[in-house]
Amino acid sequence: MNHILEMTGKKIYLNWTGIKEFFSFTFEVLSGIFSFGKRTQIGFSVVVKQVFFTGYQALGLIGFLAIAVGGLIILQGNLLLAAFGQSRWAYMLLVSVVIRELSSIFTALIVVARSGTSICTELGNMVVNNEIDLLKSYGISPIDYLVVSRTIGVVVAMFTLAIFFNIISVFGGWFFTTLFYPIYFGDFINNFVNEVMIQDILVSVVKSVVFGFIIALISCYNGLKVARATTEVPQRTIKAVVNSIMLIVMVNILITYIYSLLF
Amino acid sequence: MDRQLKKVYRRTGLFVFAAILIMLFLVLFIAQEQRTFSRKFSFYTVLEDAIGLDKTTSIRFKGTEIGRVRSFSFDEQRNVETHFHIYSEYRDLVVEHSAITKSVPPLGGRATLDFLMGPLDGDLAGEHTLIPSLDMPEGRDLLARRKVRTRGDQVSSLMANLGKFVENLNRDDNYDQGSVFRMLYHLAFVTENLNHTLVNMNSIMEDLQKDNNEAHGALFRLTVNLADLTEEFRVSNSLLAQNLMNLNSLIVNYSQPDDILTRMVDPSGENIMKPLNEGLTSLAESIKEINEMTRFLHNQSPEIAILMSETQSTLSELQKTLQGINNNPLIRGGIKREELPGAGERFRPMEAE
Amino acid sequence: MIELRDVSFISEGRCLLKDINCTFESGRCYIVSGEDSVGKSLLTKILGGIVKPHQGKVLVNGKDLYLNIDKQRPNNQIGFVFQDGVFISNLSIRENLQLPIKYFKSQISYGELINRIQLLFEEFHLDIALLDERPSELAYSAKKMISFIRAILIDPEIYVLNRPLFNLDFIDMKRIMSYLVRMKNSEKTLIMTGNSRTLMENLADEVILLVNGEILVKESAERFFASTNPAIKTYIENNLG
Repeated sequence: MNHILEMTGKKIYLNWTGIKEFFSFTFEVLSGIFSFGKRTQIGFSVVVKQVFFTGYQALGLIGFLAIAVGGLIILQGNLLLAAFGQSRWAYMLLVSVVIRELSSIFTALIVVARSGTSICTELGNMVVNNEIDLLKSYGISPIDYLVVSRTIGVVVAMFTLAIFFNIISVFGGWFFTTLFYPIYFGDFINNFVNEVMIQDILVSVVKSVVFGFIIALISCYNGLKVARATTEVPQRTIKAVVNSIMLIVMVNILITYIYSLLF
Repeated sequence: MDRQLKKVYRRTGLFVFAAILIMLFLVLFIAQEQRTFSRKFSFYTVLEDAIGLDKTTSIRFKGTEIGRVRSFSFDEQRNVETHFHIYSEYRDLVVEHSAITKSVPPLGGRATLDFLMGPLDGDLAGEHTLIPSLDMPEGRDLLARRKVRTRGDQVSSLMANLGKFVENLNRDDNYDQGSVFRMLYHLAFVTENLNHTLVNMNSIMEDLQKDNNEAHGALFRLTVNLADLTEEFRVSNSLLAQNLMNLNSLIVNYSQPDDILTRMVDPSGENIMKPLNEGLTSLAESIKEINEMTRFLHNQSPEIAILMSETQSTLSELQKTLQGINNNPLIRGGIKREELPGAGERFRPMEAE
Repeated sequence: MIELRDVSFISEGRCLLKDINCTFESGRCYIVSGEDSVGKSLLTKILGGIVKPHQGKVLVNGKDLYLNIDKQRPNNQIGFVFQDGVFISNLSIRENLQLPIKYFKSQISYGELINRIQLLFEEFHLDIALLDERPSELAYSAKKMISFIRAILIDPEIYVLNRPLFNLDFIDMKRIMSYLVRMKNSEKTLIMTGNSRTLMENLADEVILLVNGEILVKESAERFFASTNPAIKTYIENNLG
C-alpha cells in the first residue's frame, strides 16, 4: 500500500507541470464556455457541426448498442433472476445498470472512439500545419474558437446521445422481454416507471455531460500538445483515448458515490 | 449559407430538440406517475426492521398504491421509524386507529407496507402523526380490539380449497379398519377431489396469470399477501404429507400380497384396477398442468412456486403409490423411480416413502 | 509603432533569441535578414502575437501585446503573412477569408467584404472561382497570394510578413512588390524577413541582420550594403550575391 502511494506521489510530482498546465487549460476552457454567447457567431457553427458529427452521425451505432445492451440486461436478468423467482428485479437492473451506469459509459466510449480521436487528430494536424498559429495571428484564441466550441458540441451531443441511449435501451428491454413472455408495452413501461426515479434520469444526464466535457477537454488538450511532427499525432491520440477512459471511469465512480450519498 | 450546411443545421436541431422533448416528457411522466409535484401528507410508523424496504416501497390499501416510503431512521428503542407520505386523493383513508403492516416474502425480496384502515366513521388522523404498525404492541392492540381488519383475498379461497382437500384426506385416515375396498374407494374419492381441487387451483392460477397481465403487479401483491399465509399453508402441507405417509405405509403393508388376495378382492380387475388406471391417468394430466403453471409462476414469485412444488411432490408421491398399487398384485417392477420434470425435488419438505 | 524590449526565447535549453531590443517606427519598412535558423521566423511570430517570448515585452503603441492576449487581442492591429500561406484546411477559401472578420463581428457588411475580396482577386489576377475551393486544392503561388490578400482584408496598421516573395515566379513577385510599395506609401509599418537584395534595395528603410539569435546590425539598406564589417560582408557575399 505504502509502495503504491509512494509511486503515485512520485508520478504526480514528476508530472506536476503537466497537471498544472492541464488545470489552467481546463480553467481557460471553462471561462471560455461561460463567455461563449457574447463573443462569436462563427463559434456557433463549429458547435453545430460538432453536434452533428459527434451526436447525429453516431445515433445509429448508439441505437444498435442500446438495443443490444437493454436486451442483454433483460435476457440475462430473466435467466438469472428467474432461477430465484425474482424476474421483477430485471426492471430494477435495467434502471440501475443501464440508466444510471451503462448509458453514459457506453455513450462516452463511443464518443471517445469516434470524436475524441478525431478531435485530437484534427487539432494535432492543425498544430503541425501552423493553423493554430494562423488563428493566433488573427487574434483568435484557439481555445475559444477550437476548444470551447468543440467542448460545447461534444457535451451537447453526449447529453443527447445518453437520452436516446436510455430510451432505446428501454425499448430493447421490452422487445427482448416479449421473447420470454408476452407483456404489453404499457405494462412494461408502467413497471419500469415504478422503478425509475427522476434522480436516476438526472444522474445519467449529469454523467453524460461531465463525460462529454472530459472527452472534449482531454482530446483537445492532447491535440494541441502536438509540437511539430505528424508522427506525434497518433501518439497523442492514443494518450487522449487512454486518459479519457481512465478519467471517465474514475469520475463515474465518484459520481455514483455522491449519488449514493445524496439519494 | 449553402444547402449542405442548412441540412446539417436542420438535422442537428431536430436531433437535439427531440432529445430535450423526450427528456422533458420522461421526467414529467415519471413525476406524474410518482406524484412528485402533487401535494402529499406525511405520516410515520414504527417497524421492527426495514428488511425489504426501500424508497420506492409503496403503501398499499386493498392493492392500490396510496403512498410511498420517504425515509427511515432508528428511534430510541432502535426500531425503524419509517416516514411515508400519502397522496392527497387518499388522505381521507387515513383515519384514527388505522394501522400499517409490513409483508416481506419469506425468501427475501421487496416488502410492501399495507395500510389497514381504521373505523369508517373515525376522525382523520393528523398529519405527521404515528400510524402504528402490527410489528408494535399498539398496532396489535388495534387488531385485537378489531379496530382494523386484515385482508381476505383470492389466496384465502385457494387455501380453503386446499383445506377441503386435506379434510378429505383426513376422512380417509381410517386404514386400521383394514377394509381394502373402503380404502380403495376412498382413495378414488380422494383422487377425484384432488382433481377437482387442482382444477380449481388451475383456474385460480389462470386468473392470477391474467391479473398479472392486465392489472399489472397484482400477482406481486398477492405474493406478498401470500407470504403471511405461507406458514399456515406449510402446516396444512405437512398434514397432507403426513396423510400421504400414512397412506404410503398402508400401501407398503399391502405391497406384498399374494395373487390369491387379488383374485379374492378383484377377480375381473373391473373394481380396482380399471378405476385405479383412470385415476392415475387424470392425476398425471393434473400434474402436467401443475408443472406448466409452476414453470410460469416460478418466474414470477418464489413463494407460489414453492407451494406448488410441494403440492407436486405430494402428488407425485401419491401417483407413485397408486402406480405401486396398480402394479402390485403381479409386482411388475414395483414403484417406478421416475422423476417428474420440475416436480421440485429440491423443495420437497419431507420424504414420504 | 511596435517595440521589442529585452526579448529572449529559450527552447529545449537553447537560447534562440537573446535580449532583443528593437523599435519599428510607423510608416517604415524593415527587413530582417540572416542565415537559416537564426530565429527570423521566430522573431516574426513574436511580433505577430503568435509566440509569447520567455522574457521581455512586445509593445504595440505602448501597450503590452501579450498582456491578457486571450481576452483582448488587437485583432486588426497586425496582419501576418506566413511563408507558405497557411489556411484552415477544413474551411473553403471564402470561409478562410471571412473568418477573422466574422469572428470579431466586424462592422464590414458581407456584401462589402465580398466586393473587397473580388477587387483584390482581380488585382492579383486570381480566378474568383478559387473562393469555393479547399486550401489543399490550391497551387503554392495562389495560396501565398491569397494569404497576402487575407492580411490586406483586415486593413491593419502593422504588417508582419515572413518571406513574402519566397518561391514565387517573377510575375507574382512583381505584383506583390508593387502592392508592398503602395502599402509603404500609405504609412503602414512593414516588417518582413527575406534574403532578397531587390527587396532590400527597393523597399527597406532599415535592414536588420540576425546572427545567433542576436541583432548584429540595424541600419539603412545603403549603409548595410556599404558596410565594412567583415561578418556583414561575408553574409552579403554568401547570401545576397
